[in-house]
Amino acid sequence: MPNIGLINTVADIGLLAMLAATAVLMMRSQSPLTITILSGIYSLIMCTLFVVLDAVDVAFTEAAVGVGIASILILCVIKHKDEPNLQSAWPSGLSICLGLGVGVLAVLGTADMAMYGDPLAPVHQHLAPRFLGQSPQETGIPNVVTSVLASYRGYDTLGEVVVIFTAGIAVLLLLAGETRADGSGQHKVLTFPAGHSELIANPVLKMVLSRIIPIVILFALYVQFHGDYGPGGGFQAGVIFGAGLITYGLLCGPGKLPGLISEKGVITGMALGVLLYGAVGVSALICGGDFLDYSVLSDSQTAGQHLGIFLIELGVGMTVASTMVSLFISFNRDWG
Amino acid sequence: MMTLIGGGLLCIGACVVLSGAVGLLRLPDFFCRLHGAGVIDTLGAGLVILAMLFLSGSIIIAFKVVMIGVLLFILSPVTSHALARAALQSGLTVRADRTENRQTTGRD
Repeated sequence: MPNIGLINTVADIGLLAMLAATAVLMMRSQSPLTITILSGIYSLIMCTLFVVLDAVDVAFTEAAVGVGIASILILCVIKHKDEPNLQSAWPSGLSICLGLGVGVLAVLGTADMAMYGDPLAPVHQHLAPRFLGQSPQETGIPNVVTSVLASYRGYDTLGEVVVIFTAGIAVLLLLAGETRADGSGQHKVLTFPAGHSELIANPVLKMVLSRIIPIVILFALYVQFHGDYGPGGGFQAGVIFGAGLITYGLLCGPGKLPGLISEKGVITGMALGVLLYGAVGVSALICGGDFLDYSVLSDSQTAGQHLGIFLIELGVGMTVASTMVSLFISFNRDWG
Repeated sequence: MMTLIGGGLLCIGACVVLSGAVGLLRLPDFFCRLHGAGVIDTLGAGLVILAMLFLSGSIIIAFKVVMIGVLLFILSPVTSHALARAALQSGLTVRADRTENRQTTGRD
């Protein structure tokens, strides 16, 4: 293909301009609803930029979380709370100075950064040659991103899963506290206001989405189990799975979701994923290796790596998907 | 030959998307604007997908493009429908002509 670099540059400039325009519109807008929709659009443009940068797995996550789940959660809040009165005044002199100052510092900081795609950049000199050169032999997995994420940097990923778990628990605790203070039952699920139940009763949506959601779930499983070979893995699969279930919740009312997956089951899933990850690490210890050193888990090194990476990706997927669904369920409880 | 057909379809698709965008900005009320958006979603995206099909060059990519096309073909009209229905139910009126506002109900 001729001039692919030029096309990429034009696409980058156009997308970044749209990104900036969306950000300015978000600052100037007064209605929380508009801001939510605009932030969804912002995420969608980011998602396209990630595809241009060849980071398809990041784009998956951005599309599912940024465009889908985050927008839905914020819309749930807007639906249940009185619309706050946002005033859009021009910022004061101090905040303009502060913002510009930080912006100038950030731009100056980029002056020391290596050019995008520069093979001589320090980050590409240190460990990257080893990952790129050795990982197919050491782990037997063609997708270097997966082997770096799950094997070489297993500690980091364990930390990320724990962060997601902790954040989910924190949100659940905050919302549960509010429910109890209200005195109403903890498992009370909100019935939607009249306008919303009309959406639920929409036969066209119901007919089409009930056929699309299984495909979304199937795609999530594909992303989960094909992560060794193509872009994807536990995080991406988890959010896609969660987004599919949340769509079902929107379609049939969040009250139907606890019938499909109990709230307790979802919270157990959050904990089980982290536990599975940790258990793989500990069993590596028991088998005589280091913590999270999967090579000792099976007869050969690559088989052990395969097994370990498969299991920890499964743990990541479980935690992420359960966290997303439990957030949706708890956001739709009756807050009083 | 494939490149030529693909490029031609891409150009027509771009024109359709552009006209849809102009319609989205210029048409008088919500439902007319929705028509503009619908044109982009269905005909515009459809033509671009068809162009991609001609430009893809390999069976695997062509299959993926077809899958995207099928999803778009199903989902785009549904989104337009859901938007229009939501607008009707939240009490937006359909303008029959420039002078008269006609109140319609959600169900026919």
